[in-house]
Amino acid sequence: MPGSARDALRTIVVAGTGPVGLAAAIALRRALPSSMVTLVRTPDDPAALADSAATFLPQTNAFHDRLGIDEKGLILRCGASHRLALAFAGWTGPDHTTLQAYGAAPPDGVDPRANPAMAATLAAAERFAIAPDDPALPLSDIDHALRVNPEAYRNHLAALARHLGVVGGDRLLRAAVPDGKGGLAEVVLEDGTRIGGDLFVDGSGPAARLASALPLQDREDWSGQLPCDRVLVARQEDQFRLTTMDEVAAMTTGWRASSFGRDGCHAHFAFQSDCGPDEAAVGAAGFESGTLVAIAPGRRAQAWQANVLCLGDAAAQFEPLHWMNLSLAHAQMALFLEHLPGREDEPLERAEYNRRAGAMADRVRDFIALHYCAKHRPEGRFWAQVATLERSDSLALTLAEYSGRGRLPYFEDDMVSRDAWKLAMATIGLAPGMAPRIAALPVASQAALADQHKARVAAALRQAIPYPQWLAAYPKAFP
Amino acid sequence: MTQRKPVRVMVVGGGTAGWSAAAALARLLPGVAEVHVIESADVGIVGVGEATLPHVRQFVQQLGIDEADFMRATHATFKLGIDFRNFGRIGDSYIHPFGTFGREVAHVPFHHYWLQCRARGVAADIGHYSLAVQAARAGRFAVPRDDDLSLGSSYGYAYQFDAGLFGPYLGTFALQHGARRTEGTIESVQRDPLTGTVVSVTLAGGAQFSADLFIDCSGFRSLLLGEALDEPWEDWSHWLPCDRAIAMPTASPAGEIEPYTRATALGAGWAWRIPLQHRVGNGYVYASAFLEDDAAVAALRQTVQGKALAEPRQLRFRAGRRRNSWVGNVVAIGLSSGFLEPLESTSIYLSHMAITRLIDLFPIDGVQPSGAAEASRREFNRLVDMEYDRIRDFLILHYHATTRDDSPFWDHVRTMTVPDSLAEKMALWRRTGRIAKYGEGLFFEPSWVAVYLGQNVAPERWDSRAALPQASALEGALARLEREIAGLASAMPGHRQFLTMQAARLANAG
Repeated sequence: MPGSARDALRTIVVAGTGPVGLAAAIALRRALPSSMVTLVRTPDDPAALADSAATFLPQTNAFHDRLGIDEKGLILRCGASHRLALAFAGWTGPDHTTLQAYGAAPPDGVDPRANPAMAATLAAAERFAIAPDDPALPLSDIDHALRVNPEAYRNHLAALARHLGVVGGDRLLRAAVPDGKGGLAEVVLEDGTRIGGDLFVDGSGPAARLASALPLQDREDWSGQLPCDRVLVARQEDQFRLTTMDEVAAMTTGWRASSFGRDGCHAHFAFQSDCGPDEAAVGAAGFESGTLVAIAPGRRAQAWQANVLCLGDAAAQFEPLHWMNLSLAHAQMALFLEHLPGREDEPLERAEYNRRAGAMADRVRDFIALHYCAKHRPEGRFWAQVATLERSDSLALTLAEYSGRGRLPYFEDDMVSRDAWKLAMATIGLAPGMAPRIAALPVASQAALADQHKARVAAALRQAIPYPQWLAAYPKAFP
Repeated sequence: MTQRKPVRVMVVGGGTAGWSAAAALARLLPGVAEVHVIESADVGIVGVGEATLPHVRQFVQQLGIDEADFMRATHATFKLGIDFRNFGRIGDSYIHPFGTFGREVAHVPFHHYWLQCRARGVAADIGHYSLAVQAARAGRFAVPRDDDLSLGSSYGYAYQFDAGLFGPYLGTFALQHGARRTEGTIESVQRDPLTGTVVSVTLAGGAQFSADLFIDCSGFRSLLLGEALDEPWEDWSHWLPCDRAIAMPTASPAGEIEPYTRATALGAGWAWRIPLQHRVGNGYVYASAFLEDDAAVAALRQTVQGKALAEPRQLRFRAGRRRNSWVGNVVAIGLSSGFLEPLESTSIYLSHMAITRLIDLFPIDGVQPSGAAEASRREFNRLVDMEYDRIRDFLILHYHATTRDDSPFWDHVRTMTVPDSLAEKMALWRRTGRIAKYGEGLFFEPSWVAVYLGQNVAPERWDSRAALPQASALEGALARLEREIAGLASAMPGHRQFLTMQAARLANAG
């Protein structure tokens, strides 16, 4: 049989030294230990929401494992803490809060609005445990996300990158030089140094400082589906809470998310500029300080263009509800590793990546957009505006099938789990429709489903301990 | 809780599809669906689908049917894959297994490493790294382990059974679970003149039966969807030209029962060989444009081994499907909805898949011309289309990926233009060794790898990471894997022995 392994990428240039660029550099260097991976600094951009994240999603834990970043290191060196659930306050009306938890949703036939997921019950009781692997154990139904101190996390990643032999990261990008074939030939640094590459990764944030040197390409505009185009990023060190629950509160002018790290509260206030002057919106939300950034919701039609791969906000920009920006970058990074190219260009492979990465991003868009589909919304101009949003066909189908018969249609490359979709439906107050198989059960059996779920939750609750106690015991329990 | 009125479901046809639908609806939707089967004694069962796919186990399990009991009743044997002979070129043989090849290393699929070793001349045939293939070749069988990490869990299995007995077995089951059966031949179909909805059917002799939802399992005739509603047919015979089959059972030979199905390419199609407990099913699927019927019979007689147990029987079909499988209040399931030749044993899968979808999307509040039922129809048709399209491409690959030029038939399929969706998949494989992935439907990465490599479609280049391990280390790992798999295969009981033990267990339990 003829043929050979493809020539491995020899030189890789990664622009951006935030978590997106660093994770890409680490992942690529691990995949190709013989390659030269060079980091190039780009100006820190507060609008790069994937890079400024102070918290992750449960999916991040597996990706961290893959990078060789363990939870212990994050707890001991990056001030990590655990979140089991996100409380949505006022989302479907005043004085109404629902918990969107991680891990398993209640089983089919049990309405998650009336029967919270196990992790939600633990979070409400401020208890915590690490889920065991054995699915027979009730606690295996929970999952958690981590919060970190962003600066410590970035240093942690940078140290790992250096340890693995990733070079550079100290000098700023001055220019990206096209190769005349639709891709890049080299980058020029602030001191005039030129670095060529087989592959360029653009993790520089929304400015896409590498990809912007390429022939212009289409952008998928999401502004008709995701309302927020302004985000105020604020840190409130005095608002300290040790909790397994974060919150998102609906305000008349937008929404405010608070993530309670061990270093204080990391807050985002997201709103729409069409609803009035920015200052008024920020003022109404009660913020004294913070950095205001503008975002243009949407994604690149082709995140991988010629020899340039865009990740993070360079690839897709959207409001940070659920803080999914970094997780999407991670998932797309893993997808890229699945399609890791060689030195020669293979358009079909790129097309396959772009097809799947695009589907993945669109499903994240749908998931965020779902949160605006509540029947009962808060008062205010922002929410009136929300009522006029369009729905993608895929979201419309998801909503119709769930409310029609409690079913979630399958979508390829959906990084959001079925459980998460189900729990988000409960957040917006949407009841699951009656599934035919459940309708066929005797009424007593239907009721028993909920009782079984409650019993399993109660058993798990007894095995969990108060979170502060868990965290205090951590250094000793996991030496 | 409000009391729902059961939806009256009429299943038209009592073959494998009809009784599968009736059994599943009666068992899984009691009180929601009221099942009435109209079965005509003079319509024969096609029963080409004697070989199945692993999905059939889920279907049978969800009904709560005991595997051993069901296997005894249908004279079933176990199936670990399909042995394709003479497809890529005359003399070739490869098994498409219900299982994986090797293990992924550092997130790179095994076949890239295998290609690397193959290029260095230090790899055995890829089948040596699949437990399903090795067990099949050795004529052995054991139930897979459920430990995800062990090689002992790296495969699945299906059944080869007597389709003529499978329908009646499910029929008995359906009747036990409350389905009603009427024997008779449908003479006419009554439709609402305003909405076009099917209202009732009239049998020879005048009896008239009405229902809310009609499931057309009338086979190729497609009595409701095709004849009554005239739903257009999408023809795929330019890609899949086989349109006839000659079937002929033979006596079982002495010795081990092969735990796999054979598909042997012949001059104008291919021949199946499906070993059951009591006989062997044989048949020749061919294209009438390239072969006379008499010549097909002669070719089949020449191919089979053992004494013929019946005269050859001919079946006629064409590849393609109805544009929509669910129209108004008529859902076609099985051959009435479409046909893809049984090269990959997909017939029963397609019926069972459609039944499972119908149950998930069942209009529990009745079938109206629009509204909620419309969503059911649209979603059902979307899902069924996707399955048909994917299987179609996979089947075409078996014909197109060949160097055979020994007959006009093979010249045709080798040089024909294939669907773009397949052409792109093949080009991606050739250039990079990658499989275009999807998570829903049939035939995932190992299946495509098995057929590509088995039919000599080798990638020109593959993942650069396969060249990272030291040559000697990789060679050593491959050799260890081969030994481990050979050891696991040889530790399994013979297929016949396993069946005997299973029958003994069943007898003791009973």
